[in-house]
Amino acid sequence: MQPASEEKSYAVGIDLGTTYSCVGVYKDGEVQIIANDQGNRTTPSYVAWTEQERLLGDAAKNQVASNPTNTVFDAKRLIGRRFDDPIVQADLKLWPFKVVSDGTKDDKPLIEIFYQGVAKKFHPEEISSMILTKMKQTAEAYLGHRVREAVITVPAYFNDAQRQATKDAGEIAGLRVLRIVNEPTAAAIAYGLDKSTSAQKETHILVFDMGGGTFDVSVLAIQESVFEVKATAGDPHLGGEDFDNRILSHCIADFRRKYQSDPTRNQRAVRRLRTQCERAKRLLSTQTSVTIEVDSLHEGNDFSIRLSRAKFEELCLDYFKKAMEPVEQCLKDSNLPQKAISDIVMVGGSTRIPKVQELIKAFFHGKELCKSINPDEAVAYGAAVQAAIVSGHGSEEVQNMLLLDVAPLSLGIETAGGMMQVLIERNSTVSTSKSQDFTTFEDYQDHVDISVYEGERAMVKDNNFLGKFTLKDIPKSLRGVPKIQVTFTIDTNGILQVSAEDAKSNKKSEIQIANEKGRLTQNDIQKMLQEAEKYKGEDEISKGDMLAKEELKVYFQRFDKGIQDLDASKLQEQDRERLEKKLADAYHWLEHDGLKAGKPEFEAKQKELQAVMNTETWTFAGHLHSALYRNDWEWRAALLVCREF
Amino acid sequence: KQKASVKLDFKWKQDESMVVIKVCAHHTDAFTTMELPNSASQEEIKKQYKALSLIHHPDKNQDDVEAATERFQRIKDAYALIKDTDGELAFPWDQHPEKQQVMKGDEAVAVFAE
Repeated sequence: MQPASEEKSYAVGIDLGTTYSCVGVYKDGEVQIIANDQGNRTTPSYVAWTEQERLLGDAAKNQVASNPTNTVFDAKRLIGRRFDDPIVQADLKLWPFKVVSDGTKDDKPLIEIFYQGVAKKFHPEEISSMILTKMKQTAEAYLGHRVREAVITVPAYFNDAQRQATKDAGEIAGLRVLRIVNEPTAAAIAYGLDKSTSAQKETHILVFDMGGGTFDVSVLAIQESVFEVKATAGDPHLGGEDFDNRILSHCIADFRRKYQSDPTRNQRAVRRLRTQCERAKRLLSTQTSVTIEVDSLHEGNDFSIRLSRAKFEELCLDYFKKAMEPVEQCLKDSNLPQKAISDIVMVGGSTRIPKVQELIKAFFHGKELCKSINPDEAVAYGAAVQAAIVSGHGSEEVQNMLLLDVAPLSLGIETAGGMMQVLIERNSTVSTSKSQDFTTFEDYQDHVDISVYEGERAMVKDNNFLGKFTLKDIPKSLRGVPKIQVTFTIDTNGILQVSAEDAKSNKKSEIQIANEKGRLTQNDIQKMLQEAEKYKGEDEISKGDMLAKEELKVYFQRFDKGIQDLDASKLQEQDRERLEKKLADAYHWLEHDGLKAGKPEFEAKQKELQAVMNTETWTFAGHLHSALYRNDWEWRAALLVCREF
Repeated sequence: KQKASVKLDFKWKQDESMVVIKVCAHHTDAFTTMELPNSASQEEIKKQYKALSLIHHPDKNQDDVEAATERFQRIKDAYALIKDTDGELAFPWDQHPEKQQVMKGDEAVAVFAE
């Protein structure tokens, strides 16, 4: 037996998806994918606010048509991006919920919803943290233990800001993020364990991961228990939702033509239609044609359209073709010919689309695709294994595994003329670091600015600005004399860290680095964490309120029945009236004040009734016994209360 | 401090009976770091990289992450330098120190340029 104080804690793996999320845990020598309270092994990445409460997952998605403006999804498409990002601006037009800028120079997007009559604004990190909280609770319910640590996956092609923001989301959810793992890499672990040939020879696989919102391709070399990512490429904004949007536009155009009216402004109609479009897309993976039907879609007009698989493929063909570019790029970067790839692993819901399979098969000259792993769960599966590896909880087989992942984008600094000087090449194995010496350009200059960018273009203006790092408190001397060694490190999460050191004095503390990566500060995170705790409290309170209310109602019924069951001879008329009046009063209270009452009030009311009943009980104790109290134990407790009273 | 040995590559073009001399850095230190003889084949280098990674990767040294990160970085740097060599340096230099000439980079250029 373990001592009670040594509470067992598990590290889980969470696949935080654009549209669906999934959680797994490594337990008893194998990975378990955990079903949520609805029995589903994946949970919609949805958060909604109704009049009374906050809803997460299935509950939020199920009510989306009736509450479109307060139901938030797609937070992953916003996370780590700026409001003025063209991608965000394009997505905005498709979302029924409101997104605004935070008005600072970082220009972060905020999601605005109405809850209990007040407008509330949330960072995308907070929305993601709520989904993570849901996944955490799912795991806790299954394990019966607190979950404090997690490995969270991100698309391999996520940039620094997006990774950092995802890590922050984990912290806001009260999780220690052990590692940010790339989704295709996690999927490769699932594949590797599934095969577990433990071949001495090195084999190369290509992971094609197309989910709801993002798309990644990775080439890995697997040898025994070492998984080495050779190269990765992708598109952080390409997935199933884009296909849904194409079908949706097609349907809206058809509706317009048929009825000469435009449903785009009608959020509820668009949402109902979108749900049917998503359904149609799924069905078209197994059947060749489908009918999209929505009764009374807009202005009382029913909508119905027949969509063939061929038409769907025609609508999305440019997307499908676009997905082949990263495949080519990835092979080129890994210096491997097509025939060196021994397996093509398909992951993510969108890889069920026959046309996608057909195109990639054609690209590899008709090679059969590997579909032996579950495309929806493979990523969470791999994340759970990585959680076991990093936290040291797994079996021997797992402990011997090693993941060598890469940084997806080159990292560099701005030099004269706005050129990009690459410090860390893309596809470098992480963690990796590179040092560079900096000096001053003017006499007695006491600070130097370093602008850091990520991307593959020659000019920094074409690349993604990561942040400006300022070296302060440089010892005053003539220009060119100070020698400051700045070290750029990409850690195992793929996140950049910068440190500086005066090469002469070897003192790290003398140089200060001002970090302006535009991310949340530790203060912000703390504030959000408290906010989240409050929400969690609120959720529990509203749950507790409802339970207390139900309990009180049940007590009313038993009380009532108890009175009715007594015959007149044993209960004096005036006592009966007194009890009935008390019950009627209590009913009245529940109907009126009870609407805004909380758990303590309900419990107080029940105690009050119990007390009244108990004083009467002395006179007809034996008779009410069987009616009011379910068992002897309860009865004795009631007598005790009675004596105290 | 990086030490570099000079390796001569002789290539005969039969028709012109000409000798082409190629000078390239001999990453002695990299081989030392990888704990390999410099005659190692590409396959051996790759295997050794993975074996060393399993020992020195920070994930496998949770109690001493910082030192492990440094060791892993050294191994990675060494691997990057020699991963494309495939027994090209098969001549057992370490057994024949007398045949090995060590010179500075600028000297090498002065001797072998043109």
